[in-house]
Amino acid sequence: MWFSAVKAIVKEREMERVIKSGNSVATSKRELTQPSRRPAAGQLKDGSSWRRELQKNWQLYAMALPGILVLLIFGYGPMFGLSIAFVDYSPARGIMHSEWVGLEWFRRAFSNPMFWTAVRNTLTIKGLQTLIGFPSAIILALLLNEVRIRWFKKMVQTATFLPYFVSWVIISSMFRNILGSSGVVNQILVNVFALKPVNFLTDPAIFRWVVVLQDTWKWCGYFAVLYLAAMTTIDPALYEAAEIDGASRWQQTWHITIPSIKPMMSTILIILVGFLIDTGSGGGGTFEQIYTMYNVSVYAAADIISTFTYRLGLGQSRYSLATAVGLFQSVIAFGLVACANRIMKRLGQEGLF
Amino acid sequence: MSRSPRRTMGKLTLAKFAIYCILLVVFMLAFYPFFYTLFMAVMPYSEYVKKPVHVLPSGFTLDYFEQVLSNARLVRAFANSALRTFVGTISSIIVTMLTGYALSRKHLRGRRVMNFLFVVPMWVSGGMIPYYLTIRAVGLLNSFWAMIIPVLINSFNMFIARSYYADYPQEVIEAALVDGASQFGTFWRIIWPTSKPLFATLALLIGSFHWNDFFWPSILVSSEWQPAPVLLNSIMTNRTLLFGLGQGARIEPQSFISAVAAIQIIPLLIIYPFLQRHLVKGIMLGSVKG
Repeated sequence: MWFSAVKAIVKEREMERVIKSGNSVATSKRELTQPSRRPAAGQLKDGSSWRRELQKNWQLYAMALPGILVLLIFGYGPMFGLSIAFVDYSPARGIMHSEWVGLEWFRRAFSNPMFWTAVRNTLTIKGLQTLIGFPSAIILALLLNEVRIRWFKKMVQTATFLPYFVSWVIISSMFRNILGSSGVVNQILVNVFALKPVNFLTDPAIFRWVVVLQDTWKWCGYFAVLYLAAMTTIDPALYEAAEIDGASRWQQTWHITIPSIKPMMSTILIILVGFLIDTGSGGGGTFEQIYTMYNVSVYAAADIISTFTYRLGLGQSRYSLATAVGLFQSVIAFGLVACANRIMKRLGQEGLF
Repeated sequence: MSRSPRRTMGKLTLAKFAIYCILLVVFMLAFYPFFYTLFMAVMPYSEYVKKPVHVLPSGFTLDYFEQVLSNARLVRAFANSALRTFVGTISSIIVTMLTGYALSRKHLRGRRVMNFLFVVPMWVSGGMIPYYLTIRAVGLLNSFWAMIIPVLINSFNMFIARSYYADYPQEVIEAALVDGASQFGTFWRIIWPTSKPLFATLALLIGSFHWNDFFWPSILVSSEWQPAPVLLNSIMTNRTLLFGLGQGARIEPQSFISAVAAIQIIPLLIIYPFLQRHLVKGIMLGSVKG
């Protein structure tokens, strides 16, 4: 057994050397060709060199053009649209001719009790989702890492990863059936345990937990895959050495596996903190989850900022007010990510930027 | 990538047994909702009322699928889904690959600025209403293309493509250019035929997005072009609409909705095992390098 480990290490080192030397060959080749490719390095600053660059590489620019155009229109266009949060926007007059009202819409949003309910719900739901989802994925990855039966590992990994692949609408249709008043869970509660049926979808306090656990169900396998991928980069020699030193499996996990996935943990945590205020409007995220699951009877516990924005903006066409709420949300999210990033860096972990 | 050879299959300890048990429960929790939906779609309602508890299927019928597939509106919705997935995925892959390739060329001037343009939207967005107003302003509202054009490229996929081409053996490209091939010619004859792994990753990421996308189509697209997830959500929340689809025939809500959901899940279940590898690779590329 030990020699296979040594062989693996030697092979890896060899590969590394080959890759490195291959790279050095490539770079030296590039160095050789580069002087002839860029004779005009000194002229790069004036305009005529731009024209030459365009002449030479216009085809590359043409390749990038469709992507850049779509990005500018649909990625940056909405950012300029944010200005309607500061005017009394009416579609008939357009942004330019609408009256400037400053922070009026923000004041109105902040004085709306529904807004603060939504803020509270967002933080509660996202906070609980992070609190439960983040460690569950790590535990799942650690457990899967202990499994030595290949087909079993593959089977569990495939099944837990599958929900990531399916949209919230379909997930919602499945859970409505399972948790509904005549669904399988209530059938068991009533007919097997002789309990009262539970209103999973209409009782606000319970619905909140449904939303939290459902989120863990959807994302756990996805994040576990990221951790597992980080674990494959661990040098097996470390485990060998630990075993020779008499370390138990638990000690190996605690002192080798967990430290080596710390960078991945910190990256994922920063991203999750950014989502604490859920900015994902429409493109997945908790908005779609709640939007496809909730109903009027659970608004008090489940109405989050993005569903509130949706009802104001697209439901009641109060564009300026809804945009102001959305802008507030984005600013907070960005602040949260920046804070988390700084904290992680101070703790000696890798940050995102 | 091979498993670490540190542990043999040694004796079955209690801890090991517990780990397998926990993972078996996790497996069942993860998969059961899919299983439940699939068997609800083929289980006769008469069987359903016969017994008080249904954890496992009993009986078999394709009546509900027949009911769903004989409804013109639902069939149209599935056709819309298939059409948008096909058109949207192909066009988006081409745009993403071309942009990713161009931005991976190290000597291209303005490359840094263009890269930065792609980084910003990963962190800042205009939000719901400004996005809606932008789509309306460019005249895409209520059009089929509202599901295709705005999502032709996104930063995440672009960075996957870019890092793929940055790792590409550059000597090959240089040699083709030195031999007098044009940039287009190089891309078409050398890059494109060797981009299969990238193609598979992007096809899976973009294809599943198009197949699943639900919220914006429900807002932006006229009802004749609405894809299946939008209709599924409507019949889930609107019983009048659901019973209206029966055209006089009796509808069993649970079974009918399960059949509609199953038709959307089955294609995913079929392609998923084959492409899981690529999906994981793509996610790693995007998350580690992007």
